[in-house]
Amino acid sequence: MRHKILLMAALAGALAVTSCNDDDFKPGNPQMDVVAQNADAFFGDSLPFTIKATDVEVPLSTLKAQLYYGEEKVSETTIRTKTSGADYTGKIYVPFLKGTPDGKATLKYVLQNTSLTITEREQELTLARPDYPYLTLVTTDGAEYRMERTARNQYAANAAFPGKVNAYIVAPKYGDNGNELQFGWDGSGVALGASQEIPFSSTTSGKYDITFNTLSFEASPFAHIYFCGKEMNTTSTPDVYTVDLTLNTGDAITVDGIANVAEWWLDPDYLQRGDDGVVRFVPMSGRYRVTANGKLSYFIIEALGSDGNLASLQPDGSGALWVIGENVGKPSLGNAVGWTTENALCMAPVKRGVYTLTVTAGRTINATSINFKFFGQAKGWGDELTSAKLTTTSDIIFVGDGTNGRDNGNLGIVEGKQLEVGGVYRLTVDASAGMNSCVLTVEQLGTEELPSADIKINGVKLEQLDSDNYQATIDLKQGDALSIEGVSDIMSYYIDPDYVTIGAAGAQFAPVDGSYRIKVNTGGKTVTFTRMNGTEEATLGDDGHGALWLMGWGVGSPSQDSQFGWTPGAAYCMAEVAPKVYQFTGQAGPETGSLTGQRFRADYLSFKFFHQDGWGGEFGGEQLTLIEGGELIGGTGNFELVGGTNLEEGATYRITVDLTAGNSAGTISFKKL
Amino acid sequence: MLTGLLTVFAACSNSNDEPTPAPVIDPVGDVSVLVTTAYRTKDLTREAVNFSNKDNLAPTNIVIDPATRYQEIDGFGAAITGSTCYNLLKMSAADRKEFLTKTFSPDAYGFSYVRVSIGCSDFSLSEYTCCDTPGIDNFALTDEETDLVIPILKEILAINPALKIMGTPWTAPKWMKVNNLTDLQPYDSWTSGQLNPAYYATYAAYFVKWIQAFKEQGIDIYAITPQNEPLNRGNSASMYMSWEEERDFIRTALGPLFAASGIRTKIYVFDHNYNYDNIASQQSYPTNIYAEAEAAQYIAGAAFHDYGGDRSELLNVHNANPDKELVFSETSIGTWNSGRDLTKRLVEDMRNITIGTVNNWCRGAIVWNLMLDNDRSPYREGGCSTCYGAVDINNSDYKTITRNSHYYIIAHMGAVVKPGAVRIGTSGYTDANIAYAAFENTDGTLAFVLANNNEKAKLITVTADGKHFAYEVPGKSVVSMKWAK
Repeated sequence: MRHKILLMAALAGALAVTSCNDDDFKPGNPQMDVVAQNADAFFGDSLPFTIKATDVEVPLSTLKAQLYYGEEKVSETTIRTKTSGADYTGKIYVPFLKGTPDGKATLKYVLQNTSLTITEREQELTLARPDYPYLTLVTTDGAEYRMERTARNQYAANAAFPGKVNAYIVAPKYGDNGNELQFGWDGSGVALGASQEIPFSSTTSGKYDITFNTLSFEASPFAHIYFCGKEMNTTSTPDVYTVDLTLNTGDAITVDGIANVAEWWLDPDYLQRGDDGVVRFVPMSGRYRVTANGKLSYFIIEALGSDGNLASLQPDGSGALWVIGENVGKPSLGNAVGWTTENALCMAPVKRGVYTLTVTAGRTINATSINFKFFGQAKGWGDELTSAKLTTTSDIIFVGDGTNGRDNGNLGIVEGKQLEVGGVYRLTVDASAGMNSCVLTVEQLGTEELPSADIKINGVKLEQLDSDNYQATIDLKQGDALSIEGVSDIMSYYIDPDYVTIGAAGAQFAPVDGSYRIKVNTGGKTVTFTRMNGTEEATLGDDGHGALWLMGWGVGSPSQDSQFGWTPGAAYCMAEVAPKVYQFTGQAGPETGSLTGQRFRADYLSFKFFHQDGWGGEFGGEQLTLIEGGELIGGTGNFELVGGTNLEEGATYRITVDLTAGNSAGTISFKKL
Repeated sequence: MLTGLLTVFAACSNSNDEPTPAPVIDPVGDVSVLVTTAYRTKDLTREAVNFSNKDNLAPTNIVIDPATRYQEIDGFGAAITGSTCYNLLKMSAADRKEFLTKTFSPDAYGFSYVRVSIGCSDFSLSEYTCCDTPGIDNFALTDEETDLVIPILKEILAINPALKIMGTPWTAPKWMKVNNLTDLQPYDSWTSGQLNPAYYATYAAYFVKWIQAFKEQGIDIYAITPQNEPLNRGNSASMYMSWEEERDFIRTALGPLFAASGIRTKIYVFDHNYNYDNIASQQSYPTNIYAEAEAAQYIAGAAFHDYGGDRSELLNVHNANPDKELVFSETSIGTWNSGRDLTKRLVEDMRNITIGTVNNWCRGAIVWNLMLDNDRSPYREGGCSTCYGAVDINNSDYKTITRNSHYYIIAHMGAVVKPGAVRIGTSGYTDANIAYAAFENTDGTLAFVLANNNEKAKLITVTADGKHFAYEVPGKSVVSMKWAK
């Protein structure tokens, strides 16, 4: 008996061993034969393969093809395998990477059945870089230039180019399995598939070579920009360069590498041209960050702290003071700060604890209405100069206290007064007595003549609001032709695509008949539209006609630099493209550095629809049903990206809200076009 | 048999039984690896990896180029302050030996460069110099040297005889100080004040006597700086010394006296922040001094701290003076920078302090206190009450040690980059969240250190001299590698 017990125990032990070891037994026997697959391929190929997969015991699950460069898996494709004995055909992408030499890669096939039993097979794959006969350079205006092969992997286009050329490069399909490849700019260099254009630049315009190497991804030319002799660094945004350096009061400012720098706007708080023609540094000596904004042709200068980061206001009043809010912006109101902290303006520290902001009414500050505030930290919320900390001697600008028409600390223009259009004003905050005892003084330094244009739309002259903005309210019919006079480079403007279609017949008005306010911004180069009801912005009627307003984050126009947010007055008026049907169309882009037209943020959305340009009537989950695009967005009234989902940068998406069944039974679709 | 079966069951069990400790075996492979993660899932863990026999098409290929050579490396380490020695001496001799051996042995973490104060620092147990009574004949080492610092240095030297030591005064003897260079009034304070030019020769003799006194104890001083943080008038002991003063002091007194005395100790100027404390007249402090050849001839280079400004200043100074050396001589963790939070500090400190400085021509990096206790002590009033040591020792037992980021980053350098190594070229894969540097040691081995700030692991491939290997660097980690060519 004792012997029997021990034997049973031994058997139990053996079972225990078996169940402990996951590798000992897996049901089924997946087998595969490579029916077809090339032994070699080119980088950039989509390589076809055919595998006969069998498992007579257990149903098959998946066949994976995995490509390894060295030890690193660089590509994978998965095929569902339901039928044993069938041939399964797929394609695996052979990545075209910078600097990868020709050589042997490893292609691994992994066949798995539903019991997770796996069989693997590895094959060598000889890879080589395509020897393209030519490439194509496509500039931002659509012009194409052939880049000739000048050596292995080396290509050049020679033509009369302007000093700045924003372009992408296209490599043609190569071989039987090749793909057309597009090279763009990823913020620091040329990259395959990057959505931004490559910011080629030369110190002079005229005939020169634009080159590209398909192995090293090195391209040229990129003019080096030097500010006071120190080279500026590229940023993630094309045409924007930055450098940190020490600047002393009165330093002569030299800039090399920007062909038209003489035409750039000079921020009078930081840079002033003397009678001798020399531009000199105005604020107190110290460390500063200089950003050259080639898009808007001006330098942003910001004070740095001792830690090398942007400076903050210190308890003794030293450091830096920042401006965030509405109706102020540099170099013009076309680049207004708003309540986006990243746009904060750094006031110039002219001496310890004293900061200036010099603005021109109608150009860099609104003449009739302002609503901005002083903050202690760079580009973020935190310390702010509330009315308890800030007083003013001004009789034209007041400090809000929450009861006098402005939120606590926000600046406003005294009722019944306005700034003189063209008047140059200096706002000085003296914080030398400490950050809790600041005094604002406002003085008018003089006047300047604002630029003016004679702009007409369909013969109607637009009223000039400030140096950049013009507007008129016009009755328009769906399909009306639109003619814009007085803007020489209108083709470079962003004209809201939901309101205007541009085709062979020219520009045509897309939405339904109605009264529309058209605003032309010559600084930001945009044309925008708002549905009107007399002199008031339209609201959504009970019948579903009128204006539907879009608010939220991750949606903005003309780019993510101008997100609508949850700011009343900044909502977007959607185009009623058919009776009671509203739409908003745009490309997806990054949060920062987005291009014009990238009206959706690729990695974050949170938006909602309203009856008016602000709070009040709104669409909740009961009034709006998502009927298309549920794999991308979700929500009940407030729509956000589905968890883990990103939009494809550069792809175009459209929101359509259909209220034809009534405002209480609306539908929304969100789709990639 | 029953016993055997129970053993089988125990091996399978996921119960709470005590696991059988695995034997400690150093992994074997072509490349030895030391890895630490910010979450301490790997804590100076030794691993190994072999060279690959596949074609190297890896997209994350980092190529090491021994033919491109930069500066020679002096070493990496921490400051042996009075407070550090106080804590070390509170440990049992056996525990201290174990800690110091692990820290300083070239076969372990290889700390090889330390900094000590000449007289007091803000982490001494009292305010003093070695000549508090007027008259240089009154020079003598104090109890803090003879009872604290020197015994510890001797223990370390027994473990690592090649240890390099940098000496730095926080203040001159008070009787050599004046209120300013215009009034030249006596200045009876440990903080601020300036060196009376009339005492330049005397103060130079003070340095010589201090170096000779240590030499008599069998301790060679590799380098000195004339003044710790010369633009800092605060602290618990300090003295202001503009670049003009430091230049004149070296040119007229210190340099000539070193030469006349046969002292080969290196002189590094400045020893302060990248941003020159934002004093406009003191920008480019070292470069201004080098401009005078008569002073520059005595100077090896400049030392920097990182409490202000950006390390790009190292590159500026090097580019302006490529024949002069650079060394990073002080940085601290503390309450202000979440100094005990390895998740915040480990990778950032590796990027900024070790990799960041050697990649900008520094021959070494020295962090501040090697050891403080869990109450950040001992410290003096007016000094730093918020600093953490590279390690904390629990003052309830003076045995339990917690390693902070500064210990890890020095260990990760010292373990594979040996004194005399030369930084060599790298090219290929880059990632904004990854920083790395490569070195060739004097024995011909290659060393590679890398900090990965990505949350996720990153497979990288390293290539040198026709060999390559792949290694998956854990997320938020630092890795040191070493292999024979």
